[in-house]
Amino acid sequence: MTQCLRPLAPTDEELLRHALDGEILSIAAKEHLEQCTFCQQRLSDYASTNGLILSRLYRSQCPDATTLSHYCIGMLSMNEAMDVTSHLKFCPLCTNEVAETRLLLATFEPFPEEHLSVSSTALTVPHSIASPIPWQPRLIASNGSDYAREEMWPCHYQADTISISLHLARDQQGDIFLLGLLSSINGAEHIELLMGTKVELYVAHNSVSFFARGEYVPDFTNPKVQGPFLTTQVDELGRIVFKSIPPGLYLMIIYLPETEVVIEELNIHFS
Amino acid sequence: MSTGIEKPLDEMSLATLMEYSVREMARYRRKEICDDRYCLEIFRRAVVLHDNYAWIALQRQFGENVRLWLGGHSHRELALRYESEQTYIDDAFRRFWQAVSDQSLSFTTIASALSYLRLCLHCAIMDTLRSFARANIEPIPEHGHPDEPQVEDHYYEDELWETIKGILPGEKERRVAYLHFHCNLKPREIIRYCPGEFRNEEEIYRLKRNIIERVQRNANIIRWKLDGNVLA
Repeated sequence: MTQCLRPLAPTDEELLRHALDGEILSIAAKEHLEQCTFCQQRLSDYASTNGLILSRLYRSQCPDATTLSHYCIGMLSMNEAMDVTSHLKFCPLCTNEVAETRLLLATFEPFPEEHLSVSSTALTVPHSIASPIPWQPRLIASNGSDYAREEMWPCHYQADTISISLHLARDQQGDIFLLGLLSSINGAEHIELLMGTKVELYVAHNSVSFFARGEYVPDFTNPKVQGPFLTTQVDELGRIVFKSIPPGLYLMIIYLPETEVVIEELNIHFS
Repeated sequence: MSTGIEKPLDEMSLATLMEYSVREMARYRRKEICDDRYCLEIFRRAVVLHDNYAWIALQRQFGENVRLWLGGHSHRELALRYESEQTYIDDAFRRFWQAVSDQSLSFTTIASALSYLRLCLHCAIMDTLRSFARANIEPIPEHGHPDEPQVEDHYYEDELWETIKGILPGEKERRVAYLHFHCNLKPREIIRYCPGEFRNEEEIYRLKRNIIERVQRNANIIRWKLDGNVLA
């Protein structure tokens, strides 16, 4: 590929990463692109080639959702099932969908409740209190603005085979956001199967733990604990993001397939 | 359990069947012993006899179930960005109807029928998400250049893919090409979805560069495929 000879020109690598995978260009590269028609053409060529092929081929060989669902419940003919099985060997998206569908079938509830309050959930569904792991020191770059107290964040927890890291930061508007990352301590487990797992953040208005360790203590006297303050889902990379969180004391519940993980006493604030 | 059934099921009025069905489903919800024959009779009338009133009755009785399943679906928030709640509910029943009509599906219990109805909802959601994901994948407009007129290309996806595979030298290039063009996966996602297949993201970026270079070098062949002509 032909390179631009002007200074600070982005490399083919940079342009490809931007065009194919949406990676952010460096400030220098952006400024160069604004001035250089040659590099603009390079980027355009990469983007158009990629976009044209991607738009034609994206999931063109994948069975539709109905076929995958019928595969899960054994409704396909032998030949059809063999075709799907062959496809699943190399398509991670369909493999993920099949796993989701099987989980859906396994957790079938014909008459679900409209709202599962924290109390009713805890009484009927197994839950585990995530154990905090001793904080590991890390360097925090100080830019003169507020930053999380070193002794509080990041927080690390473990519940069964799931490891949870929680980080606190401020966005450009100055709002606090909480970033969590799930990982499996068991290398055989795929975190991507947790994609879509519901995660709720509850406000704990008093300093008393909502869930006493080892047993559930319902807080029916607290009228403010009506339901989740914020709700999100685990993404395909095992990440959890809560945006614009007011400072305070919180409780997080992660609704894993077979259990709920409770993280208590999340003290969210900046010094 | 029902008591004092005076008429055979097929002679009972739809209203009576509905009344008994609601009563028995309430017992089902309370995990008590129940009799789902009344509800199954409504199903039979709707599916076998094509009784539209029976079909409407089923939608009224189980529409709330579908709504609650939608509320608890793992992709609910994303799904509701694209379509309304009612659209998904209607689509679920439409798919259910199509399945029982075309494939001669039959259910011996209400539980199995509801399980399949929930599966129909799941399919409606997943197909919607997939179609919108596909719709969002568009060629990026040229930077700083006027828009070219849109030309509708006639092509065959399989032929296009075979051509691209043919110009890639190695198995890893073909694998990355599949994961990129068919699945639209970023390198870090490839590492996650396909553990052990690649050393690191850098290797994937290098392979992607090779792929794009070869595609651009063979642009004429690929353009011929996009025109719909098939090589002998």
